[in-house]
Amino acid sequence: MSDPNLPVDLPRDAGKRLAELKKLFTSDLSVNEFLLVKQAGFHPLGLVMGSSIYHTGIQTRKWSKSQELTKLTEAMYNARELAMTRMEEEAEQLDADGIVGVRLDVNYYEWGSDAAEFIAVGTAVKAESGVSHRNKLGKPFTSDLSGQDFWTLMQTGHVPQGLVMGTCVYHIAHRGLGQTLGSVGQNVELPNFTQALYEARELAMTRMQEEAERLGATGIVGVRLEEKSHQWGSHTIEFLSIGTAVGDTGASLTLPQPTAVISLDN
Amino acid sequence: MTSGNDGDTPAGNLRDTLLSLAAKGYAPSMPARKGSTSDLSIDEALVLHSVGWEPVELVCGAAAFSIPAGIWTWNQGEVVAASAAYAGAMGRAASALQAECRAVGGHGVVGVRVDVAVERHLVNAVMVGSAVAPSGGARPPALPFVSDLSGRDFALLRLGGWDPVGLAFGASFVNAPRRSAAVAIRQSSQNVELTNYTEALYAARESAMERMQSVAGQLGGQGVVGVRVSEGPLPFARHVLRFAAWGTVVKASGRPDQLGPVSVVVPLDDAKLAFDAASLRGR
Amino acid sequence: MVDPGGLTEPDGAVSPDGYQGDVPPEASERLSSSAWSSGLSVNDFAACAQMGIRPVALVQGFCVLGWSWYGAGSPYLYRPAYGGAMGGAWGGMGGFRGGIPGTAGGGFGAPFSGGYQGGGYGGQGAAGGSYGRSRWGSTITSYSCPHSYVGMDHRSFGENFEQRWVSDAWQNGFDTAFSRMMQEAAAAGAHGVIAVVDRVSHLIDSSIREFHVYGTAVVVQGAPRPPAIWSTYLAGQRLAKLIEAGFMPASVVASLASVRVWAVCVTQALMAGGYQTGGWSAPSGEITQVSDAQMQARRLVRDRVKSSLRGDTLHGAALGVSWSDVGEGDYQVDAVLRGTRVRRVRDADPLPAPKLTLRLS
Repeated sequence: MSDPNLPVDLPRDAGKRLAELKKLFTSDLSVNEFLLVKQAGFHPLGLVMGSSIYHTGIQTRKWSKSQELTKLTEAMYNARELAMTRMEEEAEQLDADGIVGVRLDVNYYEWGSDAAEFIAVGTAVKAESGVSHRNKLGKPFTSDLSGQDFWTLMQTGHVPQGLVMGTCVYHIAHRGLGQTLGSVGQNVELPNFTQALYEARELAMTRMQEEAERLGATGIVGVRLEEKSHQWGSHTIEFLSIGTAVGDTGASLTLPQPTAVISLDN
Repeated sequence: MTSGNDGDTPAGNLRDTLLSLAAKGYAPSMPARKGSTSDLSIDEALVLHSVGWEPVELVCGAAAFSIPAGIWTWNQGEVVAASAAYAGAMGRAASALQAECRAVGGHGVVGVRVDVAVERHLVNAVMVGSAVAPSGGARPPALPFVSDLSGRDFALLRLGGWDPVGLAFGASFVNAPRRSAAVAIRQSSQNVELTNYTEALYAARESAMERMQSVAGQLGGQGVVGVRVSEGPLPFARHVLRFAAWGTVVKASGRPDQLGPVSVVVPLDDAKLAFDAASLRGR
Repeated sequence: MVDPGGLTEPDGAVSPDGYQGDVPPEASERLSSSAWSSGLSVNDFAACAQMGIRPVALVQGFCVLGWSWYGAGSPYLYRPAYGGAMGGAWGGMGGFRGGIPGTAGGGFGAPFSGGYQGGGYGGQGAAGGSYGRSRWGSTITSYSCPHSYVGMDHRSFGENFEQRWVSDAWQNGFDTAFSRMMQEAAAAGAHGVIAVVDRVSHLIDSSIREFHVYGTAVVVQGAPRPPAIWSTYLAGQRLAKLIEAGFMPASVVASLASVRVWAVCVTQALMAGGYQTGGWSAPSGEITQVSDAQMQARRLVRDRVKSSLRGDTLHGAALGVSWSDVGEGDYQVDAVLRGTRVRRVRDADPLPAPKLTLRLS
């Protein structure tokens, strides 16, 4: 007994909850954020989320070779993508224009070794004017912007297009004994390491940028660079870059000029 | 800064300003002078500028005092040698800061960060701040003031008709009292006030504050603002409790209060400080 | 220090493996893409849009150094082959690829000069005294024992010296990463780099230190290319205020100074709680040698940064200091100072009197 309107991807409980959201809205926006989202001409529809539990196994690594672990990269990317897609599907169900305040987390549980839950949560919003604000692909936009940031961005003549990310899991070579001894007492550059890190971060950033280009975005704001070893040991590192792709609406800047004040608050 | 439509600030043509500067290749507007350094944020620098003061140089004062061996055994009462070392280190650091400020021609030091580390055999006091002077180039005083107030607080204080005088501090280190075994056993099953503890801690706090006040008095101040208190057991001698207090000594300047009326704003930001010096470097 | 004014644009020469200068092919590809990326928050982005500053790319640079403190840094373990060993090290430092502008080249100072410097004067070391050269580094102050009796293990001489090999390695790591970032910025056609973040972290284990510098490359719309690409730790509203106040950022600057205390008998005794040494006890009180070191590290780093300001002003300085007791009364103080070198490009307008506000929150 599945709901024909519900994407096969989503559990039935989600369908029920989403149906109820037609009558009331839920959101994790603060009052300030809520009012600013309303100011920007949007109405919150409901909290939407997507989750995926993924087995991110281990890939054989050469001890002394720096290389990208493509299988792990794919796994990390696909898992986040699945969670994001499910969240977008929930938003579709609500007929939303987009999602603000998306948080993307990775949880590890004791019961599953090498298994990780990737979870995406955000607040679905819809334009009150009825004009569609969906992105180039016809999907609701996603963004990790707060309500304040969302409002400010709209005033600069830009709209969010989607949360974009790129990841690269990289194995950094161990140094051979000879190399280690050779550089004892010398603070010298280790060019192989520099090169490996350079390549890993550039790959992650390039992938993020390619995602933005697919969305037809003009740019990405708020890029964060994160590094995590997860559970792979210190020499295997995931480099994640993530940011919100934005598009230029051609509208002019409508921010008022600032005034100098001295705040008496602590 | 907050947004508002009523502002008649020249910020309106910042774009044009920047363009005209760029056209000149960002050439300096005056011949190069001796470089200066400051750790003030742009907000602090601007607000100081608005009351006619400018930063001169980043200055520091530091002092290390020894704590004699053998004083950390569990005795009774105050650990006098530790209190003395603390007072010595703070005093020397403050006067070293003052001396450096005088050497660079400053009238005082604002935004002083006080960093005191107490180790088993060592008290290390370090004070770092920005020396400031009025723009007019008046003769610096023989004894520059030292204040842990931010540039903003300094400006506000001056507008309100007050002047900072110096830094007051006081500390006391006390042994936690010992209870006899019988008392400890009796009290373990009762909900009673441990009066001997109360008294010891009370006395220690009082003497730290009292010392701070007496320094303030020596500096000729009328009051101490922004007092900070740090207290707690020492990590290497858990039975010794440290109480330390410091703040900026102020006195009335005789100038009239120039603070205007306060307007009330309702911010739509979520809890952020308007003046956040630490976040100025990058984000 | 890297002189950003001396940075030239990549000469367009592409090596067979796709490198342009130090910029690897992956980066060149990314920087030529049509969409820009930026580390700016939305607020900073909006403030920049108001000034006509447009982001073009997130740019970054790295340098990974093998890092060691010479066996806990003790001068007793330190090999006097300093000049030679370091000379070799710098040779290997020829750089990740093409070489490092302004930093490559030469060692520093004379190697082992033999014997101790300075006759020493008791107790009070006058800070800022002559910088002699000793076998360990640059002597800042020296201290001699006030006792008349000198036993075998009595430290009759002590000094505070600057560990130039530490600061030079740090500077090299930072400057290299920074100049690589600036090369990326030049490749992206930037006028300036804002919201710079630098991270110095241990990577994998404590013997490897990574310098990572990144920021957002920007252009001032409608303006000609500046003579040199400027850079700053500031972004958005704070940058706007800086320019409003009549300043223009010139460059990010950062330096480290490392001062080592080689304890004289009195210092050694006091650091250990004033025990008797060689039949002599030290009076309790100030440990002048350590006080001096604490001041010297900060002054050294400030003066080093100041010497690179060329008449400009250092704005928003952040001074970070760590110190540690390295045994036998020996002590080490490391100070890092970073900030933005700014230049006055027009006279400051009289600021409108700020309004006082109280937030209802």
